[in-house]
Amino acid sequence: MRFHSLAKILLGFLALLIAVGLGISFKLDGPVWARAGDPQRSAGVMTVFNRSFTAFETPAEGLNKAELDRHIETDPLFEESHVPLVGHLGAGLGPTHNAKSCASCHILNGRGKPIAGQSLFRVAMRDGGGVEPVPGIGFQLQDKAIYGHRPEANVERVWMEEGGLRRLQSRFSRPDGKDLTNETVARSLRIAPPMIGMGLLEAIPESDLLAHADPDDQDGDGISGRPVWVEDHDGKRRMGRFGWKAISASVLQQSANAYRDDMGLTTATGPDSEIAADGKPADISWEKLDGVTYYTQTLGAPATAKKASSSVVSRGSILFDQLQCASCHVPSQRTGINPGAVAMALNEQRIWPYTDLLLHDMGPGLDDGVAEEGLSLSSEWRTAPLWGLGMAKRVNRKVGFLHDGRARTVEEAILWHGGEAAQSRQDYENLSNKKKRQLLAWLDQL
Amino acid sequence: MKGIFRIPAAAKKGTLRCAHLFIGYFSLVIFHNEPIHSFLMKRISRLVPLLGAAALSATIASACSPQSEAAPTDQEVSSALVNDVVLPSYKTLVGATEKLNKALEKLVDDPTSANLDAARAEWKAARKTWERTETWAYGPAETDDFDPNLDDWPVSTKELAEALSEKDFTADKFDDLDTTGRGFHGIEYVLFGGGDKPVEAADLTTQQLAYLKVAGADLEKNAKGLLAAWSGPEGFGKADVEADPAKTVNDILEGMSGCLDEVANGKLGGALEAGKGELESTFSGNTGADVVSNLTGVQVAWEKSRLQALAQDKDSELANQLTEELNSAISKAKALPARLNDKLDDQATREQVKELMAAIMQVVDTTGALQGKLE
Repeated sequence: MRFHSLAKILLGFLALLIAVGLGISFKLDGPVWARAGDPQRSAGVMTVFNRSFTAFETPAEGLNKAELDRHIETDPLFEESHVPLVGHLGAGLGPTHNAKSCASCHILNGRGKPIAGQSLFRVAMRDGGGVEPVPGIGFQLQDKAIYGHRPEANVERVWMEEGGLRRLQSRFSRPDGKDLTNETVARSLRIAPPMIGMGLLEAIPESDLLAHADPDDQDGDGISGRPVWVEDHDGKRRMGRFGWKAISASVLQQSANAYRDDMGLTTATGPDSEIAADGKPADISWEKLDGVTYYTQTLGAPATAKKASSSVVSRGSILFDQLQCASCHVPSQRTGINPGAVAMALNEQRIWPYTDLLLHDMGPGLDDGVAEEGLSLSSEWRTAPLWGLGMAKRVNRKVGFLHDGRARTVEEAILWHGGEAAQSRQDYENLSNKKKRQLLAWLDQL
Repeated sequence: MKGIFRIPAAAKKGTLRCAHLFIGYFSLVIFHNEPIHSFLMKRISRLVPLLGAAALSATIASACSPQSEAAPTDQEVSSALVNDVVLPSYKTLVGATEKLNKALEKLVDDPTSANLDAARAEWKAARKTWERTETWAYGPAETDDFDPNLDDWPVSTKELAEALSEKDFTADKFDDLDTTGRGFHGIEYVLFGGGDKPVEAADLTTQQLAYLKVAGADLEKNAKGLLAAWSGPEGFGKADVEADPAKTVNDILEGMSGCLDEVANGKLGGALEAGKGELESTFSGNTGADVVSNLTGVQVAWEKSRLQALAQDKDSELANQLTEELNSAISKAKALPARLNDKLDDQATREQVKELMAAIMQVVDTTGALQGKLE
C-alpha cells in the first residue's frame, strides 16, 4: 500500500515539474533580451515603484540610511532659486543665463517643454560645419539676463506644421537691433532631458559601451554608433554620456557645465578651493557642486507599468526587436563594480535604459547645423534612453520628445527617425495599425 | 537571433490543456491517497466551526459598521478633488488677490498708515488662501510656471534694490525682473520691509508704491491663470485628473506627503539650520501661519476629496491614524509663536519646531503606509 501511494506522489511531482517546465518554455515568446533578468526593474535595485507625478523625484531604492539621508539633504540644491549677489561683477546668478535653478527646466526632474525657461539654444556659425562659436555669444545663447543687463538675444519661437509633424523656426534679435539670421547662425533647441538613472548610466563600464560601437559599420547592419571623447573635469579623457549629444563624461562635469552655461554660476575648481576657474570667488562651492552631483547620481528610474510576463511586453518587445530599434536603443546594460561608488546600489546592476549611449546619424530631418565644437557631426545624436518614456507626460503634461521637443507624441518621434534609423522608420510605417498600437503600448509602459 | 524561440499561437493552447491535466492528476493523487486524505479530513473537521464563526462575525461586523453610505469610488474621489477641493480653492485665491490688489491700489493713491495696515492684512489673507493649495500644486502650478510666478523664493534683493532706486518704476521694469523679484514675496519685501523694523507708510518711496501697484495686478493675473488652467473641458481638472481616476488617489497621497515633507524638512528644518533668513515669509513674520495653512490644505485634500472615506473602507485603522496624526500636527503648528523669525534663536521655540517636524513626518510615514495598502 505504502509504495503505491509514494509512487503516486512522485508521479504527481513529476507532472508538476513538466507543467512548470512547459509553462516556462511557452513564455519564450519574446526576444532574447527580455528573458535575462527582469525588465520591469529598469534600474535594478534602484528601481522606484512609483508611476505618479513624483516618480522622477523619488530617491532610488536600495540606498542605505546614510546614503538616503545625504540624498534628502542635497535635494534642495536642485530646486534652489539663484539670485545675483552683491560682490564682484557677475557674482551669483548671471548676468546672462537661461534659468535660475535646475528644477525650473527639469520640471519635477523630468523633461522641459520647448518654451522659454524650460529649454535653451545651443548655437554655432554655419560656416565651417557648425563647429565655430558665435562671436560675442559662444556655443549657447543666453536669453535671460538679470536686472540692468540685456540677454544675448531675444528669441521668438514659431512652430511650423508639415505633414502631421512640426518644426521650429526661431528668430534671434540682438539688443543692438540686428538679427542673427538662420543662414549665418545655426541653432539647436534643447529641452531639459529627464534626470532619471544618471548614476547608473555613469556606472556602465566604458568597455561595454565601446564594444557596441561600430563607426565604420563593419558588420554591415546599417548601424554605425560611435563614441564621443571628452576631457572630464579631472583632465582625463573619457567617453561622453550625458546631454543630447553626449558632451559630458560624468555627472559632476555635466552639473558644473550646467551651472556655468545655463545659470551663469561659477563653481569651485576643487575640494580645497573657494575660487572658480576665472580666479574670482566661486558662486557655487565645491560642497554644493558635489552635493548636487550626489543628488543626481542617487535618483532611480521608475519600474515599467507592466510585468515582463505580460502580453503587452512580449508583443511590443518583439516588434521593437524586429524593427531593429534595439540596435541603438540597446535594451539592457550592466553597471560595473566601483569600490568608490557614491552608493553601493550603483554597483553590479542589470539595468534597462534602452540606449547604447553612442552617437548615431539620424538624418537630415534632425540635422540642425550645430556640431558641438566638433565632438560630433550636426546630424549625429546620442541614443536617448527610453526608460521612463511613458511617464514623460505624466510628470509634465505638455512635453514633447526628441532634443527640441518637436515630437508631440512618441509616434511623431519615431517618424522623425532618419539616417541610420531610416529603415526602422520605414518598417514602422509599414506595420499594420494593430501592430503599431502594440509597439506604442509597450513604449508607453516604460 | 530574432524571434527564434517564438512558438506558434496554436501551441499556446497546450499550456491550458497541460494545466488541466496536471490539476486533475494532482487532485486524484491527493484524494485517493489514504494517508493524505485522512490527514486533511481531520484538519477540515476542526476548522469548520471556526470558519462558521468567522463568517458569522464578518457578516455582523459589516452590517453594523458605522458607514452610513457606500465608500466612494476612484471616479468620485477624482471628481470631488477637482470640483470640491481644487477649483473652489483657486476661486478663493483669485478673490483674495483681487482684494489685495484693491488694497494696494488704495495704498498707492493714499499712502497712510491705516492703508498700509489694511494692505498688509490683505496680503496675509491672500497668503493663507495660496498656502492652502500647496498639496495640489502638481499640475499647472508646477508645470505651467504659476508657482514660481506667484511664490518664488528667495527674493532677489539686489535686483529689486536696483530697480527701485531708478527714477521711475514702470511695468516694463517689472517685466525685466525675474520671478524672484515678483509675486507674494516681492510684494511682501516692499510692503513689510526687508529689515528688522517694519517700514512706515511715510517712508514708502514713489518707486516702491509704483512697484506695489504693478505687482498686485500681476499676482491677480497669475491667480486667474492658474484657475483657468484647471477649469473647463480642456483644463487639467477634466482632461487629466478626472480622465484618469485610478491615478488620482495615489496622486493625492503623493501631493499630501510632498507638501508635508517640504514643510517639515524644507520650511522648518531648513530655517532651523540656516537661521531666520531662510524662513519663507520672513519679512512679514508669517511663516507660522503659512505652515498652518499648508497643513490645513493637506487636511482639506484628505477629507473633502472623500479620500478619507475611501481609505476608511479599505483600512479604517490606518485611515483613522492618519486623521489623528494630521490633527495633532495642525494643533502643534497653531501653537507656534506668532512671529517665528523673532524666536528662532530661542531654545524652547527650537524644541517646539522640532516636535512639530517630528509630528509632520509621522503623518508622512502613515501616508506612505496607506499608499501601500491602497495600491
